[in-house]
Amino acid sequence: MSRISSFEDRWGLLRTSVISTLLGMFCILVFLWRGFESWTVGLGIFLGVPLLLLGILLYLTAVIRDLRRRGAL
Amino acid sequence: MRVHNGRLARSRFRLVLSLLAFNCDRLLGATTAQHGLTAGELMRGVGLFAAIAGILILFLVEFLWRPRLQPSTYRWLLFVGLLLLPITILLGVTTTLFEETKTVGSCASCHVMDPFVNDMMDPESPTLAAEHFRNKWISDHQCYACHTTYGVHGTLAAKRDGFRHWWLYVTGTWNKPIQYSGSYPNSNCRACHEGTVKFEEVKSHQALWLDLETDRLSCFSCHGPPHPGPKEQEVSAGNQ
Repeated sequence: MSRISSFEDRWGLLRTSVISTLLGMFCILVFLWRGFESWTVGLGIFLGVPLLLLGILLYLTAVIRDLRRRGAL
Repeated sequence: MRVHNGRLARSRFRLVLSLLAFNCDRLLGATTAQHGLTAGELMRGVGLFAAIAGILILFLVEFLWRPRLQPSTYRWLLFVGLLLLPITILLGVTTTLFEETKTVGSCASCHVMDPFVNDMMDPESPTLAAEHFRNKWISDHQCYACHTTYGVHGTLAAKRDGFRHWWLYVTGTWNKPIQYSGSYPNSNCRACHEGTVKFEEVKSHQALWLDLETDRLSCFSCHGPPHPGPKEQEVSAGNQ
């Protein structure tokens, strides 16, 4: 049994959040590294930022669900 | 022997520091030596650091170290990788974007703008943009200074238009020759010229003041052209 089972990830929210955040961070990294060009703006701003926001939102949802399950909220 | 090891360690430490300093300088741009570090450049560096750290932390924690980590350590690392660093990155990328979109380089990054930027930098060009540029009447961010109506509304409208321009460029759906959409407000010219001795001395400015203030008469009716016309744009595009 995994040691992290106490942080329940029943709907795979955390894993999805990690993947979404990783992709978002990578897209933004390309924008910050290469600078302002039409394609980097598309990749970093219009794709990377929404992915990063989605990752944050999924993480917060997972944390709130976990806290509710523990009766902390 | 211990002294020798100490010297070696110090020289390696200096080498790492100098390499870091060189790369930071390169990343943050050559302008830092002239103007100092701007907020945009600083936040770009912060965003870069946070993005690299975030990618490393999340990858290691989720895909390599997960079975071995204590639950509390796992939670803290996720908190850092999924909340703290992403917020830092968002701050960095937003500041960078807002600062970058003011530069002439950002306008010139779409090649369709080349005729306008080339004309502005042409010392022989008679256009208003070129005249302002070669005389350094606007020291920096020359496109942005004239094409953003002053105040927060102007800034937001400029960002909205920037998105529209980007979309037209990447989808290849712009119409040639490029034309200014809408009407250019005289307030953008008046913001700098109004109240100056040279402006006040011109009798027609006094006589037509109400028309100029209400945009019934454009500054370009007498001054201009501000940019190359359709024919000059074609010539400029053909020369490249």
